[in-house]
Amino acid sequence: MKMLELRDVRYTYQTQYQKVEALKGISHSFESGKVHAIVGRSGSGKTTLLSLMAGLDLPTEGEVLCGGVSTAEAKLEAYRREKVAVIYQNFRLFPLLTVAENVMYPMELRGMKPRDARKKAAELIARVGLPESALNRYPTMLSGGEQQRVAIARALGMETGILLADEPTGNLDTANSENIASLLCDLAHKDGYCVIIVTHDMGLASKADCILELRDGAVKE
Amino acid sequence: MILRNGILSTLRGRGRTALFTVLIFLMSLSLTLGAGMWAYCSAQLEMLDNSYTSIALVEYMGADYPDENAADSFARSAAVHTDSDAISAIEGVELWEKTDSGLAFIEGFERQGESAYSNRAVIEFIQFTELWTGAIAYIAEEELPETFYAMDSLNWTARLHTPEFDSGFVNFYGSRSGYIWQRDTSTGETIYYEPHELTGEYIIGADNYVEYVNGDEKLRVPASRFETSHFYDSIKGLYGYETQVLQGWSAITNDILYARDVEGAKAIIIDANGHDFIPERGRRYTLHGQFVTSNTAHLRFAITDFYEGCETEPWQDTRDSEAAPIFYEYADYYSRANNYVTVSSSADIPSLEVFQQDIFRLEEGRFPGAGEKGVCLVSGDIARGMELSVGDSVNIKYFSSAADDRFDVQESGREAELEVVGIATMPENYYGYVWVSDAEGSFGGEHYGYQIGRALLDNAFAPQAAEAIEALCPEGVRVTLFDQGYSSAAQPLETMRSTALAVTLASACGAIAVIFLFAYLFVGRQKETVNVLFSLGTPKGKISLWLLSGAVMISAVASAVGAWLGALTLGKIISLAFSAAKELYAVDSRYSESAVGVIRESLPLGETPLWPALAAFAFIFVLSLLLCRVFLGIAQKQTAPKKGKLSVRVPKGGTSVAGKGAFRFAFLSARRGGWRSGVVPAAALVLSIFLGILATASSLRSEQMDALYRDTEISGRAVSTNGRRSTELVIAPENARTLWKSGMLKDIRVSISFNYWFGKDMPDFGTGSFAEDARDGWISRQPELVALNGLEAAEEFIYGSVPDVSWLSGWDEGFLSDPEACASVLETMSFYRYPTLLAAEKEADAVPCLMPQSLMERFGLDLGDSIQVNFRYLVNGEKFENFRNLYIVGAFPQSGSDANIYAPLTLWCDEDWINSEEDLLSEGERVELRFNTPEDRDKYFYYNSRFSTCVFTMKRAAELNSFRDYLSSKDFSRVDGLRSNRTTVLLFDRSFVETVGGLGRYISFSQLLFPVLFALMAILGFIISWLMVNARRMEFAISRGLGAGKVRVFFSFFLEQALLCLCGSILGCLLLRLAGEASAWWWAVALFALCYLLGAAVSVIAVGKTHLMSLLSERE
Repeated sequence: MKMLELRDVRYTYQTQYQKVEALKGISHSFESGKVHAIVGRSGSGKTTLLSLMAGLDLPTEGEVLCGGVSTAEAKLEAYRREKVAVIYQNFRLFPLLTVAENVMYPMELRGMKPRDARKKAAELIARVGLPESALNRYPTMLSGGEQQRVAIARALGMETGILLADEPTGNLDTANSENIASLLCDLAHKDGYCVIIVTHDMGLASKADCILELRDGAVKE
Repeated sequence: MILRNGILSTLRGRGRTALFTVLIFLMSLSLTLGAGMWAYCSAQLEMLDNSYTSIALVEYMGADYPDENAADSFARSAAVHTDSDAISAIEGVELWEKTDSGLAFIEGFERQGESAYSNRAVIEFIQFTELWTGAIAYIAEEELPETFYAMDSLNWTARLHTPEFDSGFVNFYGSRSGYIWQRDTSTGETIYYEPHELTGEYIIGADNYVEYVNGDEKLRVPASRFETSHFYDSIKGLYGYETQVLQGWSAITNDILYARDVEGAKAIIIDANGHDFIPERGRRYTLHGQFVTSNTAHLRFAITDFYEGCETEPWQDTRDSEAAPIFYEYADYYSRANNYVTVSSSADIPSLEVFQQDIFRLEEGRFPGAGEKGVCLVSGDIARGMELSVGDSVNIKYFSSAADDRFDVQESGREAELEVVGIATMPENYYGYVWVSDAEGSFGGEHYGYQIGRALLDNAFAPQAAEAIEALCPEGVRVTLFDQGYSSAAQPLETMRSTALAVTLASACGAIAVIFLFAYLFVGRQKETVNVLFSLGTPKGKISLWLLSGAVMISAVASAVGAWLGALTLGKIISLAFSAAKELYAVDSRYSESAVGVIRESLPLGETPLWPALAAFAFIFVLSLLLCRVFLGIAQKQTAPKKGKLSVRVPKGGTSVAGKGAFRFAFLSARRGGWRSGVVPAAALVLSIFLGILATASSLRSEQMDALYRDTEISGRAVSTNGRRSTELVIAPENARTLWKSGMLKDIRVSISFNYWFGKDMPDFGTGSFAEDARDGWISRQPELVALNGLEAAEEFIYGSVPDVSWLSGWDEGFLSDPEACASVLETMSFYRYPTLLAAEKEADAVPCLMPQSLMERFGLDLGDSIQVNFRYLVNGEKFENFRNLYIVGAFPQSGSDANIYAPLTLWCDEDWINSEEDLLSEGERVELRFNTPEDRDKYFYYNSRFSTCVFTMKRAAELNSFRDYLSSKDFSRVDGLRSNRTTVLLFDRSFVETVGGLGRYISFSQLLFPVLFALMAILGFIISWLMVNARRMEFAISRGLGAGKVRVFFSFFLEQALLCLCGSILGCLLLRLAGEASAWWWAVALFALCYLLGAAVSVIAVGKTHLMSLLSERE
């Protein structure tokens, strides 16, 4: 099922010195139950594209459609809250919240009661393979792989169906990378998530069902 | 490369760099201005201190104040009881000296102006010729001739031979208005008749004739037909008549042994003055005497004894012999005593009142130094009269004075040869002054005059020191501070200096805080940079250079620009601040007791110093270098590989499920923020307490101000035109009434004084004009019967306190203002044509009075006893004598040298002269000398009376300025205009004005300070919040990235700040409450929290404006 669709997405931004055309008319569809990899060299526009899909900004031209609705027409905050879940390269966890609280945060945003959210957070933490003792720790006390798992648990807690991951193994060692990669694959293949991974790690990309390669802001044919 | 990259990477911090550049610039600017102003004010104050001299003059306010030669036992007692050691020990007293002066004689010096024996002379006269003149002779009733006609102002008495009476003579008395009465000499009974009841056998009278009626026959006998025409003097109880008396002799001066103002041959009238001097024609006589006032063009010389009880006659026939030695001795004595000089000693002559108050100035040479022997400074008249120059010598022979008369001098035998080292100016009315150092002083003998001593004060502590001295002084002693206007010149500078010091300290603290943060952010938090450089194998020194170069450059440039701008604008800022401070300290001193003495001109503004700018720059630069270095060390240490186990950090209580939404996030962040969560409450706590205390103090000051205005009583009085010399306190009744009509006075007390004496005390002065002069002089030296409506108006108590009075049962001070207390002496004044004295009714009710205990002891009197006194009063230059029985209702301890008696004001007039609804005189009305009605009589005396003193108390201190305006509108204290009101009014407002001024300045400061402080709080709130939130903007971005709404994210961070701020503020409130502060602080704390939160809200909104995508893509 087509979960996310890009229609001639263009994105231009202004730096101090010049106008940069980061994306030059990208069109593509992402389906559920599959792992999609977006690859390319540094500066090819991978992260920009992910950000537009994550609803952090709107394309300068073109559309990002989710469930047939353009992000330009949706409320971006609600879109980010309800349609997509993002796993960042640097995990982006709240340092002053415990692991459980980090996972609970998006659930609470959606109006879930803290007690229920906590219960669910515990399940998700277990699901991503972290011990229960990790629940009450601060993220800074965990290793990179563990933090990434927390980030995945937080994303799962959002129950969006679309999972965006920006270099999810970029800061991890090989073993942890393997684990995270298989976890993401499982989420797509077993739970039906539409998993979109931005990576320059070809090993990870090779595990994807579809690969979209970007070069200078455009899809490499 | 390292240097360039270090600087560039710092500059690329943009917002942060700009913020700290501005902050450092502002700090160095304010530090330069603060320190510059402080240095400038300190230098100016030092200059002021060197240029101004403050002294406290300690004087006894005696009856003859300010006579510097008076022999007043009370002043002497006060001088003895003034504790020199205690005064010297007072903080701020640099030198205390009791007045040390004596009289001396300098050979060759001829004194100008007044002198003790200026009218004394010893002269040989020739060509004596008798002088007869018309005069009044007095006889007793029994000495009257067989028939006579006598008149006084209203009544007449006649004695005629009438056949109807066996005795052949009968006395009749009549009034000019037609009444007639006959006194039965056997019973003493007086029978009055109306004119129409008269029958033929009686006599009626009129102005100048006596009419005898017998049946149809009328016989009118003019007064001139009587054997003698007399007048009756009711005071003397004698009949006066005109006769020819030997007035004296006219004589020509022949040999003048001593006469100050007479030279050559002159015709002079000689008055025997009660002596049996009868010159023979053709002889010459040497006479000792004195010149007295004369109504003719000729001088009048009254023969006078050499001294009281001297057996040698003051005249001698010197035709055939030399005058006796005593004549020469006295001539010589007068010559020396009349040319006396006053020698004053001091360890600090420039601070003597006459120099400090610019009466004298040093014209040439120098002042004798402390402890310097053999030198002196002379007044200009001595130097000119004796043609002295600096370096010349004078021989001074000291006198010793009699205890009761300073000018009764003898040569003490002490003399000194002194070199003139300085010559002073020659002010008008100041003659014959010599100043020597303390080493030449100690003239010994009795204390004369009223100046007990003088304290040289430290300018900065002068008011407090003067107050402390006054507290140590005996009753009746007044301390006057003369600071040459130092306090008004120094106060604005002192305020500026203390403000500048506060600004400097605050700027220094602010600079330390800013630089600390700056160093932390720009160096301490550059771990990643250090890591990279470290990993690239960069040497430690270069890593330091990389990190320090940018930070130090920013601080150097910002502080240099700030200091430069500070130095550039310092002069202008000082000028503005000085104007503002002067405005703030501008005190309305119209009619104020504080406006005494000379005021020095303000010093011109000096050059502004450059060193504070350099110091500010150096301070900030060195501090930033130092702190950056410290944080560099910390950063390098943090990047080094850690050894040992890491502890696992777990929050207390584990995962929280408490709360909801933004509040939950804010609460958790606040709870777990560590030291960061401590900064805001700590700052809020300190600032809440600081502002709370400020607000409480301000509120207390306002309450004190209200209480001061409510409770203070400001009094005032009329004084002479010389503000300090509080003699001649006279005030016309219409001026006293003008004061009362202001409507701003609670009460007004006046007194009027008459010299009184007991009949038996008056010596027999004989007859003749000289005797009259002597009698007048004697009366004027008698103590006073004072009519007043409040004891505080008595001159005797005006400088001290009202004494404790022992009252006769049922009496109190209220009788003094009781309009029914006694009959006025004015009622004994004729209202017929001219103001002449009527016979006093000896039977009139006695006048209740307060009498000094000493006088009562002298006469063996008790409370409730009565005694008759004679008294004299002057109206419009005329002297009137009267007598009254006094009824003693109270006794008091005498505190002045005179045994004054106090009677109700009614003895002279009613209080309604001052406080009636309607004016006695209509607008512009001038009273004529002639009058015919009691109303006209009262107007005449109202217009021509002078109250001796006038004191008053204001209703409300708050009306002080209005009252000043009123006095000004009525032209009080205007001595410069012919038609202006020359009555000077002095308000005792110094303490009130100083206190109100201090409180007012504090309140004004607060009113200015609070808005600034609250604006600063808002800025501080913004900076702290911005720093706190900005450091957590990644969290901000994550929340937004996870779909949290703007409002929720805003409140997540804002509520955290609010929570932390409120914690500190509430704790501050609790502490203030526990400390027992008044309730005025709550609004300040609330306002602080509001301002802080406003700043925090702005900062959270500002952080929220950051682009989400770029935020999330940031690495650190």
